[in-house]
Amino acid sequence: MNDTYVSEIREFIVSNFLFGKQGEFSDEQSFLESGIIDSTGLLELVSFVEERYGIAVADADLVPSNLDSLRNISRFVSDKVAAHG
Amino acid sequence: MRLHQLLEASAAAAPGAILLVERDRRVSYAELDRQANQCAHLFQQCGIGAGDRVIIALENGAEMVAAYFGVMKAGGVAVPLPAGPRSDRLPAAVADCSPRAVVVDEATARALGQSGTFADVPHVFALASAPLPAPFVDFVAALGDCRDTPVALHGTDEDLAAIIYTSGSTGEPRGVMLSHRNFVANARSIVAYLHLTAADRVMCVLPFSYVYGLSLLHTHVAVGGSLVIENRAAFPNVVLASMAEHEVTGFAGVPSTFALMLHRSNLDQARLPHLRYVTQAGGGMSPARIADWLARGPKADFFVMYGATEAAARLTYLPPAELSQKRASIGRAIPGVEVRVLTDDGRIAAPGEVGELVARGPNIAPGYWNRPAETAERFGPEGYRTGDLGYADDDGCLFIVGRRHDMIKVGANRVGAREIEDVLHEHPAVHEAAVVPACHDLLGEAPVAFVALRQPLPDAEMALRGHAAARLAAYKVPTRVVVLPALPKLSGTGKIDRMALRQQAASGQELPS
Repeated sequence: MNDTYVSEIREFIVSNFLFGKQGEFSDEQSFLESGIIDSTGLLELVSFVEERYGIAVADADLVPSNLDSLRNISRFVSDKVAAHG
Repeated sequence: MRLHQLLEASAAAAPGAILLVERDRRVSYAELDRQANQCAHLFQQCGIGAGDRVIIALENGAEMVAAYFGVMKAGGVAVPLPAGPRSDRLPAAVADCSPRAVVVDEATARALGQSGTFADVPHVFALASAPLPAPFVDFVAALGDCRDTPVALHGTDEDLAAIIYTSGSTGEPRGVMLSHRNFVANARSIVAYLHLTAADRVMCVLPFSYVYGLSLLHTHVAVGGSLVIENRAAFPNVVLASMAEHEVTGFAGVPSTFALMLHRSNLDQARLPHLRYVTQAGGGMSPARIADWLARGPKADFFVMYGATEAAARLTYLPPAELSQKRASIGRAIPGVEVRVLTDDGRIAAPGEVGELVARGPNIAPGYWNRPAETAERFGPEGYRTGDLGYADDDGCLFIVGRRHDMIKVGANRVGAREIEDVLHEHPAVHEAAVVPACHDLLGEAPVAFVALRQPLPDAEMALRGHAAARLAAYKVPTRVVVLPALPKLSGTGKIDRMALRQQAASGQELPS
């Protein structure tokens, strides 16, 4: 299931922030440090996972360990979905 | 005095004092000054001298600051640009200012390395974790061979210290030339009204490629204070935690910085007993948002400020004590600067009469790089024409009505985008709002609003148009309200990208039916 999140979220990032250019970014790479996503983009990403996976991201959840790489955000979404399920 | 001499003077006065705090790293004044000397020697070896441009596209940090002051020590002109591959400004800036050298970060280098952007640049340095292929030369390795002794001084205070690129009214990058005198005068004026001292420590989330960010650097260097660098402003919780950990005394933001903290952080739990003041600039923040911040944010003096890149940052400020009675005012001119309201026929406007804000003072730029026509249009004997329309009240407090460019002509009426945005911000579901003109068959132009919501709002368009209709004249009510997940921002500054919204409004999809 985690892999599905990784690929879907990667697809969202590639089409919305890299404009379809398949950038070489790894699952572990920091979005902010690599410059892939800025603060506006991060909020779009949060909206995307909230709608796509029916989860609520609380203000306290907005920290790099939850959101700043594909690996982190996929694990975060997976945990949230499990908690709801 | 030249700008880099502020650094040299503070380093001589208190060599061990901390200039920068970056996560686990602390850099003293003496250390930073030595690094800047090394940069100056490197740039001189590259043949850089009086008037030569050096582009620096690095994130905020010691290397960026050392390179910035190092260019000036060598007699050159620093051109700070946003770092990162998402910044689209670099190729245009390279073409516009023909730099003798560039210093870029790793992500930018990887994104632009093979694009030919740097083909005509003699020296291309990269700050990278591992060596990169040509044309890139490792910046840190190159500095390692350079002495850290002071370099001989060249030039006068009127020489250019930097060129700062901003988006012109039509969106294309435009370089503002700023002299050593411009920056030093503005830094001293800001230091005076914020009462900054060596004990001050500011949380810096604004990039040094942006003049507001640079003004934080210049003012703190001038007094021997410290900057806490946090490049993860997208995570307001990280910023708040860092503010508490480092016991910062000051914080500076643009309206989107505050919106993010108010709507997507643990602001209510933040304990910031050392915070003495907060400054806000970079576009108008609605009175409703300011009131929200005063109610929920840390208890600290709140300075509303106004400025322009063309003014080396700052033009006016509103003393915190007057915030409650001068709602939505940008205050009065800062020390040493004059801001007048001039009518179209060149008269000084009467109190309450709307005209253009025109500024004079030692901080006003000599003009735009390579753009004599635009320079002549905006800079004259009367001062710098800001393009902002506003008025002064009986106490001399200034109020902005809108940008000359953002005034919307609805039939025979004119309305400033700002007035409508302020009303939309009063709605509890609105996170951010921007209003732009769109063509309208009958009215000529009509206001179209773009909003990002902080909480779900059923039938948002009807709800927000109804909210506006209850508070505004009918012609000021947006004909469309478009809900976006987030409003587009200009890279680096965090300001709303109004050009993108105008284009979207004009694209037909969003035309009023």
